Amino acid sequence: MTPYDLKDAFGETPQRAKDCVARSLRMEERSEPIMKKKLSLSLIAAALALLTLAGAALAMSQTGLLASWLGVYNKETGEIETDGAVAEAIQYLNRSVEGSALRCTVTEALYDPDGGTYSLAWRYEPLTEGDPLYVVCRGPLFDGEWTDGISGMNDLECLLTGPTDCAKTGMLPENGCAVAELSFDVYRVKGEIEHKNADDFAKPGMTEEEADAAFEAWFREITAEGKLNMEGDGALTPIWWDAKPNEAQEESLVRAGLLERVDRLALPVDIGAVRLGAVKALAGPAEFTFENGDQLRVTRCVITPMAATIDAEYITPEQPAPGGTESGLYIFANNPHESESYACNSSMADPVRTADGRWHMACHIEASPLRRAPEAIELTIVRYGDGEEQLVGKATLELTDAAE
Amino acid sequence: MTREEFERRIIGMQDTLYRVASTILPRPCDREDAMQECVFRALKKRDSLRDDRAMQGWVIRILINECYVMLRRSLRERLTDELPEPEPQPDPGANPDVFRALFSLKRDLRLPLVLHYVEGYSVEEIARILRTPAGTVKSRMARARKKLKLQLEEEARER
Repeated sequence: MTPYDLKDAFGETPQRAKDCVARSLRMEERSEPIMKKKLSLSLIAAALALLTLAGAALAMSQTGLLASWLGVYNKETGEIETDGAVAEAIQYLNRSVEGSALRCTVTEALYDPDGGTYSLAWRYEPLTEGDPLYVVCRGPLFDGEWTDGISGMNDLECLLTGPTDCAKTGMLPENGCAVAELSFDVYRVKGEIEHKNADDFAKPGMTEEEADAAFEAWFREITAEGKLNMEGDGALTPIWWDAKPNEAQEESLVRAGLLERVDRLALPVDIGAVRLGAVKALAGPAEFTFENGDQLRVTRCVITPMAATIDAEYITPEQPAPGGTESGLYIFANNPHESESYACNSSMADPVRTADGRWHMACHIEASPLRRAPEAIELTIVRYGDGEEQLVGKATLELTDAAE
Repeated sequence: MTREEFERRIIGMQDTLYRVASTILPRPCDREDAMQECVFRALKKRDSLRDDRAMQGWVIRILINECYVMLRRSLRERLTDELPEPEPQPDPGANPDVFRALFSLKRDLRLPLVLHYVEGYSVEEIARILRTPAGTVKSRMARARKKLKLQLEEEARER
């Protein structure tokens, strides 16, 4: 192998990634005026009131942020199309919390308990002129619990120069709690802002550790000089490789006089008034036997437009290696419709020997965000071992409408 | 450059953008987010691009920044959950041996390697993209090639 063969390390670009590019091209056209437009407070209040009153109409016309963000790019029309059930289930809210410098308004929500996901959209509106604001969003928490995020836009932290839209899709807790507890720490940036990262400090012959150390030294130096480093458009550079973007770091910058804490806001929002329901499901357990004699038993598959949840067990007469990337078994769940495919994999649980002498491995897959309910789900079972990938077989699940 | 021309060139770069994002981010959903945000930012800031010829490197630079933002987001979420970093997974059609060998390298080493041998950028162009001296790019590539060779030899011995 030569270094030029490294291209083989990459497969085909997934359609979903291409859709993301297309979505951005269309979103830019749509949201640019919104992001830049500076509204007076009375206009904002009037607009939000209208937004609430016209919620259903807006849902139908798909003009909200979530409708676009959760939409699918249609290559033929060049438009972002939102799944009808998603559009109907998006709740247009107007839940605000306001401090001395910032108003945060949760504008939209999508509650998908069958798929185990939620989506939220909110907006920051600075209420005063002057130094820029830096906002850290903690949450949402559900029953005080942090859940995995799936996708986000300005959802963790951002440097505000005007009204800013944010969105996040994540997992609901297992109990389906519908109260999303958002909290926001709002700081005024008092220091001069620089934009650098470790690459800027690498010199010929340096190791990456030395470059990192040089960056850290510079970071301390500018902090002492009353300056801040921001990454991109608003992430407080925290020396990312040792993962310290936490409250303690913010506190240290407050103590150093670089950030001034102006507001700490809490906004619990009940998003459970409208549910996005399951659209397809597996009527009963489905069993598949492959050429090598192994079996796959799918015990549950529930599809919402946002997520596919699958429980399965793999049964084999030979003792398998524990799951992992080097050896083990993986399932890929995907929609056979190429333009809307979603591939995800999940390792099997450790094998358990049963009374019949065979080995059972449980597998749970959560594929999200789908953005549109697939017509079918195809599972591909692959065995890895000795550096080789072996296709065991494929299984297409026969799904029925969830209402049946 | 007109918006249409910019859009056309962005679409032409999709595969490159995905490969660069894959080089840095293990989770496919993070790669998609990084690409989405990168294109969004590139379009918003396209008027600040002084030299149209530099567009590709400029967009890749934006993408790399976005990838590190995503990486940090992912680290923060993992810190909360105390979960290990997810293992990168090959996309359909990838050669798993080559994938494993490449991803056995640290990010700082594999990124210049991918930009040079896969995407065809010169050392000088990579230095501009990574805002790193050309000498550092060369030394990282030399170390990466050496480690890659050792990794492949080790795998061959194990077979």
